[in-house]
Amino acid sequence: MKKIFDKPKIRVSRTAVIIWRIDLTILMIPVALVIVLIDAFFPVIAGVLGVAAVIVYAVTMIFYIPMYCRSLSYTFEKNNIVVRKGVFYKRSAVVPISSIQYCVIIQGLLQKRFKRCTVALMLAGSFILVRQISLSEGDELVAFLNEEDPGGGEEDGQ
Amino acid sequence: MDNEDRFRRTHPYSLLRHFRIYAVLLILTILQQVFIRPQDIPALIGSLGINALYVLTVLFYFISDYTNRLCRIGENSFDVRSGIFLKRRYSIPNNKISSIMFYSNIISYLFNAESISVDTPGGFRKKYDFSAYFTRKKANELRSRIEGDMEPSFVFKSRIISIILMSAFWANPVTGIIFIVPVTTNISRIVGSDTAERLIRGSIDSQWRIIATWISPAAALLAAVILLCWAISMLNVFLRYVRFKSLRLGDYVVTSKGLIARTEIYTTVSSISSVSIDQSLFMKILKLKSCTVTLKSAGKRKGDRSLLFSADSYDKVQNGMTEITGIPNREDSVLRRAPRSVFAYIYLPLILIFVIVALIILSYFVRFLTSSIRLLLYIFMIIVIWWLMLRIFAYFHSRISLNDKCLIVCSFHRMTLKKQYIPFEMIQYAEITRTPFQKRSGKCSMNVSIYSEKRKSVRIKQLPMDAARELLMRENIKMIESR
Repeated sequence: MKKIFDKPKIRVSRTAVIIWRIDLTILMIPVALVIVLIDAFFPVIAGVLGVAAVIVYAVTMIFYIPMYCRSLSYTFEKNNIVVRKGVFYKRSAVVPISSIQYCVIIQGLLQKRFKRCTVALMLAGSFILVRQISLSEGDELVAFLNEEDPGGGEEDGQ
Repeated sequence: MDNEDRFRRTHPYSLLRHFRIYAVLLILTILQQVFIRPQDIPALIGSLGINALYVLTVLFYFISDYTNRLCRIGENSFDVRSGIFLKRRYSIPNNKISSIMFYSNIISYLFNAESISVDTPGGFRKKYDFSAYFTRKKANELRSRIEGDMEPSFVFKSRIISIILMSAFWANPVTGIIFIVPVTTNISRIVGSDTAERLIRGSIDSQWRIIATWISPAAALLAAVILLCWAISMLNVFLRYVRFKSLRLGDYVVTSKGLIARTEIYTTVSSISSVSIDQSLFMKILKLKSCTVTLKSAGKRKGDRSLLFSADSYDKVQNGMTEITGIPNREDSVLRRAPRSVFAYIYLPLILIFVIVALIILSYFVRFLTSSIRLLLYIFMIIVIWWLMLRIFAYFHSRISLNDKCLIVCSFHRMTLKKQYIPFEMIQYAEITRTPFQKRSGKCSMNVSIYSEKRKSVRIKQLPMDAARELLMRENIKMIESR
């Protein structure tokens, strides 16, 4: 059994908080540009939107992102993967390993810098994201799912 | 390391394909230069404007996407690495693949390219899990790897006449409009609006003289446009389905079709969630049936109505279906729809007929209901009468039955009578619903949900309640009863 399955629960590290904070700051650049554009025609509306954007930015940076990171946890059991998340609404998704078709490892520029990744578990008709786990954990998870042959199907000699 | 195990770029045709779509924008930029004729460098830069910027961005994106997209068709999986800023890597194990599609048309043929698209039950709807252009050599290698030394155990080749009939009925005039509108718009641009108008009038006066004696010229023009659009659409469908062939090759059902653009689909038998034998009223008159399959997947072709047999004789389709999919076609215990429930089948077309008759009568008295609208009403009337006849036909044939491998539901869907073979393992649940009228008369409707996209279900109306419940319990099918 892989190392990842020995841990009772995997939580996202402080790095995830930094990544999401930088992402949010980058996202604020186009928002600021739009507000500047609005300011040329409707200065009052631009002022209101500017103040609102700053408040939302500050609240998300200081409170929401750390709380969301604390709420995120993954449990890798023998037959299931349990994903728990949510700040205001707590959500738990239990994914039977047998229903996973394949996995996609996604890495943004910042994630690459911090050696983090997101694993998308592709299910029949939908998908579940396992966010901000370390790259080694992501690789372990994918290798395990490929080795285990989750579907129980046999090689069809393609 | 063996060449087979290396990640490689896809065929450059995938890049050219993107360029073809955005070529219009490039031409626009060049035209802008030709007509504005900038005199100095600042004017030249200014006149390029947003078009050039847009084209450059698109070019940069597609070239970067192409260079960053690496694929490997391995022995056990399809592996992909892609993304410019957001890097993705995944491998699709062969045992999860439900279908592989090979596609090539004349242009890709000239570039020695062929598209390979892979589908699994996972992923996003209306999007393949893996799709890329490769050299035809690579595609042929994959094809021969799938086929191995296997010989087809059953081969079905469609007749040209059945494809022509099918195209005639599948043709949609709206599709024709998509082709015809740019043509007519460009003609009027080239020859001028006056000449274009004269051409249209001339066509009504000459070619549609006979029709125009019975109906107004405007109605004749409308009929001509509908007919022309329908003919174009029919040609489009015909070219897509001509040379249709289906065969069983080991664990695969292979279908191939098309003349200018050739499509070949390898579907694993285990991914078939239902098989449907279809018969429209016209096919009933000609004693023909066709057959389609639904897969337990959720992408572009996932859950798609994929043709297995084009219209052919009863025996050929029924027996061929068993040969090709391995699903037996016999019906052991049959439960027919409840007697004296014909009204539930025909009330909707009946109401429509009354409404149309009322509108036709009204059109003779009200000025704004012109002859063109009356013509449309007559056409619509014929369609509704056809629909009514189908519902009566469906009433006599609606039933649910079983054999040792599957549940068979025979009921109508839109303008077709469908006999759906659903393997027991592909049934999610069966839902029994009852209206107040049905509660009083001891009848029910049944929805059988199958493993496919959009919670696909098969519906049958007016079954005897107790017998339906007993049938489901006998086969241990999960049952939901709505109150």
